[in-house]
Amino acid sequence: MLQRVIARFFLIGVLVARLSAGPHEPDFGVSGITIDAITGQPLSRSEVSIGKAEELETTLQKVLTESDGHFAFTHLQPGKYWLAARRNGFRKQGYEQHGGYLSAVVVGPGLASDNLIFRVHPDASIGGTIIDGDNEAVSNASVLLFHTDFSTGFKQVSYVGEASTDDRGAYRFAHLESGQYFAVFSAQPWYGSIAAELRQRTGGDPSVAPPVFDMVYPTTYYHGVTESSSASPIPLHDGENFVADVTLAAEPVLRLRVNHGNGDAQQPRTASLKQAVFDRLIDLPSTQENSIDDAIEISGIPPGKYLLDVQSYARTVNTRCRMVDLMGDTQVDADSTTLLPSIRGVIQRDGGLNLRSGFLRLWNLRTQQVVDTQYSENGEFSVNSEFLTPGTYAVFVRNGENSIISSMVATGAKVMGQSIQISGSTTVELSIRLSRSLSTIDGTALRDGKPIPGAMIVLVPENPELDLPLFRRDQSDSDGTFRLRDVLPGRYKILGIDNGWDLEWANPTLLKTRLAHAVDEQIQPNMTYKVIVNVE
Amino acid sequence: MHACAQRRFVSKLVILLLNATLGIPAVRGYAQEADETLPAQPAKSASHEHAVAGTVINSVTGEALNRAVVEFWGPVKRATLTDASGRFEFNSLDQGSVSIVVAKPGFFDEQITSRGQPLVLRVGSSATPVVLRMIPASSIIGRVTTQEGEPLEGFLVRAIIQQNLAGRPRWVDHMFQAQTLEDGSYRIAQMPPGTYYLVVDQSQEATLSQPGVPNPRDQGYAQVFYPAVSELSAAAPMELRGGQEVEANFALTAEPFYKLAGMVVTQDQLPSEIVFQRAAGQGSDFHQNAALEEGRFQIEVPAGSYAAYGTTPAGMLLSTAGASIALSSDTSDGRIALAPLPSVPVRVRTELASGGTELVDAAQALQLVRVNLHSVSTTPSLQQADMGWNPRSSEIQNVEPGAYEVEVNTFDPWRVESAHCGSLDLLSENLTIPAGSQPSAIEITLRNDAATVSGTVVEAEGEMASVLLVQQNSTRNLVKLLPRVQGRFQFNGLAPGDYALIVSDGIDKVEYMNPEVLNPYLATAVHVSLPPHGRANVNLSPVNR
Repeated sequence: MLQRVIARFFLIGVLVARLSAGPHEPDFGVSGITIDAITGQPLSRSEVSIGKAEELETTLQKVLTESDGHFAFTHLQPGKYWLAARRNGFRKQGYEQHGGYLSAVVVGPGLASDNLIFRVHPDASIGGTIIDGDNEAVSNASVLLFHTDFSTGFKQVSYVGEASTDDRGAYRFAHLESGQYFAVFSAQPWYGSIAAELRQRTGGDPSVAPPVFDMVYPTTYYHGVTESSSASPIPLHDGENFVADVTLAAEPVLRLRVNHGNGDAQQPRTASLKQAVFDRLIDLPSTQENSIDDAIEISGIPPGKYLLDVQSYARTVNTRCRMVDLMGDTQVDADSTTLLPSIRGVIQRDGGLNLRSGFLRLWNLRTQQVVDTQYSENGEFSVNSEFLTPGTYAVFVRNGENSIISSMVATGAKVMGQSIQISGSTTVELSIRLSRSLSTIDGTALRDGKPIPGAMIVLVPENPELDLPLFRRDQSDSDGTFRLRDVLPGRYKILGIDNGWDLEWANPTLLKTRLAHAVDEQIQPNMTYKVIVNVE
Repeated sequence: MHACAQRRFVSKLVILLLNATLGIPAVRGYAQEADETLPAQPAKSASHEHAVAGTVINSVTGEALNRAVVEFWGPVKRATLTDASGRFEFNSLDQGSVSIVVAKPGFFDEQITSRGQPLVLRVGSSATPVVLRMIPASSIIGRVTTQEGEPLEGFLVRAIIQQNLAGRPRWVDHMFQAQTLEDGSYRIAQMPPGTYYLVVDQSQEATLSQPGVPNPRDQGYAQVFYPAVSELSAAAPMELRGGQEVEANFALTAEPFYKLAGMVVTQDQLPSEIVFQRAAGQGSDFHQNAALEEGRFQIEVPAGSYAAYGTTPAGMLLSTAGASIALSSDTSDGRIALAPLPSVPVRVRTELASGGTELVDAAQALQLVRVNLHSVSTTPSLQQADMGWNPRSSEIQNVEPGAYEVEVNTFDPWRVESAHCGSLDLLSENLTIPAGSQPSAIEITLRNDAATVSGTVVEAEGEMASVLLVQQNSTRNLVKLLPRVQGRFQFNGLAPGDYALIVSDGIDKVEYMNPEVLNPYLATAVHVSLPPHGRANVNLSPVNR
């Protein structure tokens, strides 16, 4: 789930808590029981491990729970520790884990670290069988799984993973978290490629195979529809094995002829169809592109709505796009496509320090569509994407270090805080400067004067609409403490929300009422702040 | 707290590709081959008037198969789908040879599975409907659990099968396999009928051995053959008939892991990592890689007797050379001495038929031979391997200790007069490479008086026969194979002597290096006697067996 990891890390940056503990301090312990989060029953034979919060990859101690679910670790020095559990049917998970966050257990004089109740969530799965209209299994189909996700601060349907069907048409996604999922099926009849291959070998001779071969399956959403807006969400609960069977209905293939432009020196060299499936553009498994005299012909298309992507190569690659809604064989002119904007630019760091190569992410503020691009070690990048349409984009830089944009300069686009506004088919020149003058906010989450563990802490920038990259989040630890790192100087509000993990925490409209009670803080460069946050 | 190394905590989504193994694509490969090898028949006067019709049936149940693809490969390439009663028809065909392949998921083309080549038809010679038979695929299903019945996930289960390769039985591994799901179940599908052996791979992922004890010893699982043995020679065969689904369950016993740390000593450069292999019969049932840092390593493995291997940066294979490392408790001061695997020097001498022994040019003479070492073993083992040597240097490097049949080939006009290793006649006796000591050189003598036998094969319709040439010998026959000849064949580089020629469809698939398998074929062989420089011409007809 690299996609998700990147998505989260873009918004939260990397945090490494530094805590020191002297060698001669007294022993402390952590103990508790593991229980099934659904049934509440103690979990026997669950493997519980512990390690220092700042060293997530190093396990200090491990234990296998007995039938009462009890675990205990001793000989610990004061400090913050992560706790994790796993068992057959229960994926490895952190104590009070929410997405990429968990509550560290804080050990030390006067701190409660015994009698913990570690609720371990059982795995869920989604599986099923794909058949066609003749009741025969559809093998080698791609099944794409998406879920509703709040990790970007907005409710979004994002990609989870892909599986293929076996000889019986069966597929399966195991070890899933509970949540709302969508399954999408992309396949072609097994015999479809045989006819296409034969025709290719015989120069397109139609007589080599009868028309019965020329059938395709439209991309199909569970539960058997071809529009994402009609897709049925799968409400998956902890421990549930959801069966999502589907029947694919084959349809006769369509053809699209893309005529070369008149007098256009930049004739299209490639033309392909892509289909938007939630936050992804997928290729169709059944299509084939052929260059003919004055056109490119795309065959093997199921009826549906597609993005026609026409590329031509002059000195640079030009990407032109348009939507096509295909109900029958169709002709379009390459001239009817629109040239998309593109971005070229460079990333530099304050003080001219070396960069590490990484990713640049553009986030469409209206559609929430993401465009990712890699940048090189000298900071150069260029963005060409079917998703880069005119609009306003928040700009994120991610390279495994604290990489916060301090300023941007653009020609062909308007810079607005951490965002840029692109209008029309322009080539944007973008120069990005990364800040080194970042601050840290340490705090404690309290309610009625008592520390609250497991609360979601949100650092909200003064201009949340455009400064999306300046949001920070954390989860409070067992003593209520938290840390927000890599904070760019400026004015912020800090919110503490209990049970807020399914909130659109970056949605300005939803934040408005909550911000009235938030802590207000003006952050200067290179400082560490101490705050108290009252949890709602 | 903020979880930086999210990979550890974020629910690990395992996407299980249920699609276990390979499917039918081999069929298409064969089809293409047939297409290229069949001579295009010149269009005769009467054309476009022939038809071929037939049905596709399930070879086990006899049922008609709906929606099977029938492909025609010949001067005309065509494809069609069968109807609900399994029927298909091609019209307006020219006279000539075509090959027919049939495909459908879950089935194998019987002709290709059993004979290795598609059905060949002569269009226009007969109006009889063709019956194309498809073998339903078989499968093996089951569960892998602990002795206590807890499911074991992510374990690879492989079904291995023996096939004859160059006339010798060899194991085909990693072709049919599946991983266990979270409930421990697995399913290996799309298997052709045959005799399989089932094996569950080892797992290096450790689990804890004892509940309630702080930091108990890690434990893990070694490779196990079905039903519950550690070596292939003791494994139970599983007979799969077409369309059959067989169940095979494993209950594995965990073994405690012990820490083994120490250092590696070599005469050469140090490898960057070494592999520890636990001995189990003729093979190994557990292996673990260990990174070397300044010669030091640390691993966790079950108790047993281990051998270690490594490759130097220069590509030289090092091993413990027959010595084994016995491990029965945590060991922190292991000392592993690694020595290069044996290298076998090769010397080639040429003799001129015109008289005199001439050591032409030793380097040039080397270029005239190809040496193959075929591992010989009385107990079956997956490690058994064949090794080909092309003369880039004057020695065959990295030879695993063991017994080998040595096969020497050369080019016309040369032929192999003799091949010796010390007093051992390698043309009839096996070469044994000892562990830990340097073997003597292989001495090969070539002579430029090679004989040739060539001829024609009258092929029956629909057949592509293979020709086998045999020189019988009391200990080991010399055998050469020309697979699927088309009308003509020629064997070069033969020593003077008596030879038998066998033509038979499918003989390339049998264990012809085994005299007991070969002998029945010799009864119908054509015999020739070749003098030095001899040129014989024979016409052969295939024997249907």
